[in-house]
Amino acid sequence: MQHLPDALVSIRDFAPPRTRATNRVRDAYLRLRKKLHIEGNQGDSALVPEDLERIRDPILGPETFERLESHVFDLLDKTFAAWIDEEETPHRFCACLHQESAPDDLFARWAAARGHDILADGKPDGRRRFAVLPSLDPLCARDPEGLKRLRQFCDKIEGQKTKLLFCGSAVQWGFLRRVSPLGLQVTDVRVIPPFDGRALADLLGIENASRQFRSRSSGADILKIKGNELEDDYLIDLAAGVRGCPWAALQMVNRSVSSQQDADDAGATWLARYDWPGLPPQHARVSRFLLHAVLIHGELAPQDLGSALPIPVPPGLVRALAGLGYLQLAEDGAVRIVPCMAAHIRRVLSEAGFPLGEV
Amino acid sequence: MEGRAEQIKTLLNDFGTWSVLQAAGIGLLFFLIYKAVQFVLPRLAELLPAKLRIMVLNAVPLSRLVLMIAALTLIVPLLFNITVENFVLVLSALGVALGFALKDFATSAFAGLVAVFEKPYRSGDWVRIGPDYGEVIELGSRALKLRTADDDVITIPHSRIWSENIINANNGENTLMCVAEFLIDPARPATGITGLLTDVALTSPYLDWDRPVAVVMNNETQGTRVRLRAYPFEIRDQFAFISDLTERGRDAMIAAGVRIVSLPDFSGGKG
Repeated sequence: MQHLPDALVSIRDFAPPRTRATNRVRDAYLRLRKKLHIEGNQGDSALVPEDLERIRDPILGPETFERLESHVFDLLDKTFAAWIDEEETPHRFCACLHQESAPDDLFARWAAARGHDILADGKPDGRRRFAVLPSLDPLCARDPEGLKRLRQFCDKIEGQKTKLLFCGSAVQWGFLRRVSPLGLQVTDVRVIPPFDGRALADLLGIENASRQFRSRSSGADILKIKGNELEDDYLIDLAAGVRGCPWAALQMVNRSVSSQQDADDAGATWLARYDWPGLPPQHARVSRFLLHAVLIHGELAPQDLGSALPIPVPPGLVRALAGLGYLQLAEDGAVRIVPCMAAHIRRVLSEAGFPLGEV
Repeated sequence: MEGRAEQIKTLLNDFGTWSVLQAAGIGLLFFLIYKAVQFVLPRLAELLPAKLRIMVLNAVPLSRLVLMIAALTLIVPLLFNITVENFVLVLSALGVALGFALKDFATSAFAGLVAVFEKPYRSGDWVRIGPDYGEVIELGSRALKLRTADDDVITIPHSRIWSENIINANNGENTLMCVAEFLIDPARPATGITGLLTDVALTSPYLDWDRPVAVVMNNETQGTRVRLRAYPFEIRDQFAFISDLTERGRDAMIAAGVRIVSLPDFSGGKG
């Protein structure tokens, strides 16, 4: 576990891992081929979300995720413990952000595990000395009424003595910073650090120390080290593909197990490169607006779709995006982003010029 | 007369059909390459990330210039015997030809050359030339083509840059300022309107977060004109953005009790 990041990073220093230069060219070329509807990714798996449902036995179980979570909790303690204990501090408001692909309840579980007060409904409570706002969802409503509530919240916390730790996604923070005085009130903004290929290799080894992982495209052992670097590009590309979010990376590994039974020669587990789905071709523009709105709101109820989007949503689009693996639908029809798709969604939106904040 | 005939003899190379064919072949080849570039690059630009689109579009006129120079460099030595005297002779002959027969074309072509370097407009820019406003979709050697919001294509000779102001709304960037205008009753207090309209802009899905939002008011004869200024993140959403700001801005003001001034129709119903 020696390659896991050892501290949260400041928002200004956040730099997602990148693939090797030659692979960036290759990826751009493959994306272009895909946009031109020329079949690409020869040699790679053509896994699509429907196929993923058939993968019953993930190779990475709860232990890996627990160890990862425990490591991240330690980083949070290390960064904020002293600040939380300080009686007098000029920094009353701090923020800790995660990428959209991290678990929604990550900070709530950390706060609960450490016994901190939680403002689950986003309503400030001046009686507490310190509290954690575990999600920015209650503050993020992109409509004038939502802005009014947000400003009232900002005024209220300014007049109270409670120290607050704002936690949530980086895109939501980018929105809040733009539309409210929170960017001025919060003095220190940290981000869960990106995990590079070596860190992912450490995580893979937690439950699978004796197992060999091979890349289906290169045939090489993806954990093999040459010099001080990973010899194969698989994990480097994966880290770049999920922008260093370890939860998304682990889920993508589970999803990328390719024909495990057939190709399982010499006890190796074969991993394919995940084939990110495209947007519905005739509705790409409205799909992007929809995904952007969901990223900002966190969760979007069906009745809010109309006001959150500038153009009418064609009937069936939400289900189509859910079928492609972008969105998950709650029983009441509310939509959320499928966490491990968030990095891909960011890439799609960023290419189209959508504003996504600093991280 | 003999001296002039001698000059012309030395001007032209001793070329036969083969040289002419070679020159024609080179000309054709470069023309085809340019046509391919002109076909491929705009389509490629549509597939690339938004920030690369305008850069790739701008490669079209530049590639035309480069290809033209390369073609001339190859063709001229095949047909002409290049010396200083011949060069002057060719220039003067060209000058006469251009002066009389192709004056307007030459003016536009030269203006087009200047436009490549001076950049009053580039491919992908939104410009106003005279009464016409639209996106520059093609920069030819003689003229540029604008596509208006109504999807009309207007061809405008480059020579207009000599005589007219060119208003470039985005100047090579991927955004431009959009303005939604409202005319409100000047007899009522305007307090709170700035905040109201700023919120309308801040909650627009088209908004570029990194650019400022401003509300500007001034009094006019008919009422107080309120302008809400903001930038969309995608230049081609400008009209949708203005519609969004206008629609929600108007509704928000009406809901807040602000009276929007409507002027009587003086057109007699003909407009």
